[in-house]
Amino acid sequence: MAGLLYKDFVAVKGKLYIVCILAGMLLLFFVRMALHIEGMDLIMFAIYMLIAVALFGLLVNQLEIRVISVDEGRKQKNYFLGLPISGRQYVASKYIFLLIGFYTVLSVLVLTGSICLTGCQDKAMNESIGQFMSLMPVLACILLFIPSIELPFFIGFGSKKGYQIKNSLLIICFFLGIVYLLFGNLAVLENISLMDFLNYMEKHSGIVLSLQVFMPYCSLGLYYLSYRISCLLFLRKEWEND
Amino acid sequence: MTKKRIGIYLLITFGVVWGMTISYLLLGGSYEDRAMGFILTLSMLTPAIATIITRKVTKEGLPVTGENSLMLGIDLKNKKWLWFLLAFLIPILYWDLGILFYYGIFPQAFDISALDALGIPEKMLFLLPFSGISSSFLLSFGALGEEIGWRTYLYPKLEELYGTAKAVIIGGIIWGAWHFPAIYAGHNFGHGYFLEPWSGFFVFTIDTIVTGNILFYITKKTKSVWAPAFMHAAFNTFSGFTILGMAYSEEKLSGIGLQSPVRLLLITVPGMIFSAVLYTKMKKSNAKKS
Repeated sequence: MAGLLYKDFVAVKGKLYIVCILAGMLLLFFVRMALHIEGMDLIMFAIYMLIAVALFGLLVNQLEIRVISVDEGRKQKNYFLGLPISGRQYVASKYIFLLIGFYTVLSVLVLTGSICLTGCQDKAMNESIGQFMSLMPVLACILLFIPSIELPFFIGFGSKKGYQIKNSLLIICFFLGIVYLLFGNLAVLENISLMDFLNYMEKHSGIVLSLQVFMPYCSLGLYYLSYRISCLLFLRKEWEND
Repeated sequence: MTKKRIGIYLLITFGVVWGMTISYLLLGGSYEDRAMGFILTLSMLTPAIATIITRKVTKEGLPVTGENSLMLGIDLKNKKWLWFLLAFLIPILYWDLGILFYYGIFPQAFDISALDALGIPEKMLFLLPFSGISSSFLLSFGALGEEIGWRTYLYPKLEELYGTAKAVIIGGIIWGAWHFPAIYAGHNFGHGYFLEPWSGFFVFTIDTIVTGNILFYITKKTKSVWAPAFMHAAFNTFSGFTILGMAYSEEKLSGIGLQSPVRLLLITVPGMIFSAVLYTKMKKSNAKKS
């Protein structure tokens, strides 16, 4: 199993990702320490949000597809038959690899948040970054739903078909969005702001606590269910090939 | 060679963390600064970095699983999953029994209204321990950094030299001493307590010997760094929970009751008994092996 994880790590150029992330964090640290300009705290908050979106986007979009597609180019069946492991273990290695990815990104975001909070003078901004940071585990858990839904398609039908299904779902969501923009109640959207959201979080700490408690269990439960479905699909695919 | 490896490891770990914290304090920084939070987070990763550097320098290699490795694998077979479950449950019991013992001696310190400051509805307070478990699991990377260094590298090396019984004591003292600059800055005990900072150093070292022993025991049982990492994170999270329902002011407490090292020492008492049981078990099993 460790060998498979390492193979995937090399295949997705994991070392390059790690070096880039570490370099980015060092750069952020020096910017935070060296620059003392007007509105620095707000800039740091914006940078933190951008990093969070970029890292999670990269993880969900790129890493997932690369991890699955990397074995397909090498005549998957022959490659798989050469491995001293079962189909379940092979599928499990993909799921564990992505889970490690999520854990790493979450850890990086906590550390990045600490850098952004370092030397933060604005008390309100300080609290906002802190609140946003406390949302990161919940956000990671929600985002884990996406690979939970996508992975069975990718593993069961191959990355090409999986990608087509993913795009179809995205297009449907896009059109639903347009339908809402045309016929929905737009007044709701006008009043949405990040600060309002953070204030809501502060007032309704019970809801936030419930999310923090239940979301990891829900997303991990769904992830495990997705793994079992992928195992079934993968084994059936192998059986059909034989 | 083992002594040389320990020396290099300690030089890096202590050098970086002591150097970083003392320099910051000498430059006028204080514990209340946000920068200190960053220094403390970074400090937790230092033992892992020191382990990797020491292994590279002394050509020990970086095996991920197996004997003399980073122990990054997880094996749940042969009822090992039970130890992973205990990794979350033991810290809850450790702190809960400890706080009950403390309230037994200072009942006036218990004040449920102190929980109002959290802003969480009373009906939902039962969720707090579950929230602790979730966050210990998700945000355990700092603890993972420490455990890779202390429990999978230093403790086994000390065990090789001095045997399990002495390794746990020496390892606990070293681990405690590593925290001294942070304690001096106000971590764990704040400021203004009796015999500051020496009493803080002393009590915290007892705590690190006790918890270090439990963490090492669970490392040996699971042969994985993840169980002690989750456990360490849970110890940190639930230590914060112990003060939630506590009135810690001069109005309710006086004299010795107000001393933060005394509070930690009393809370650690049930943990000490539990740790002593594990210590005896480890000693006995080592005696059998030898």
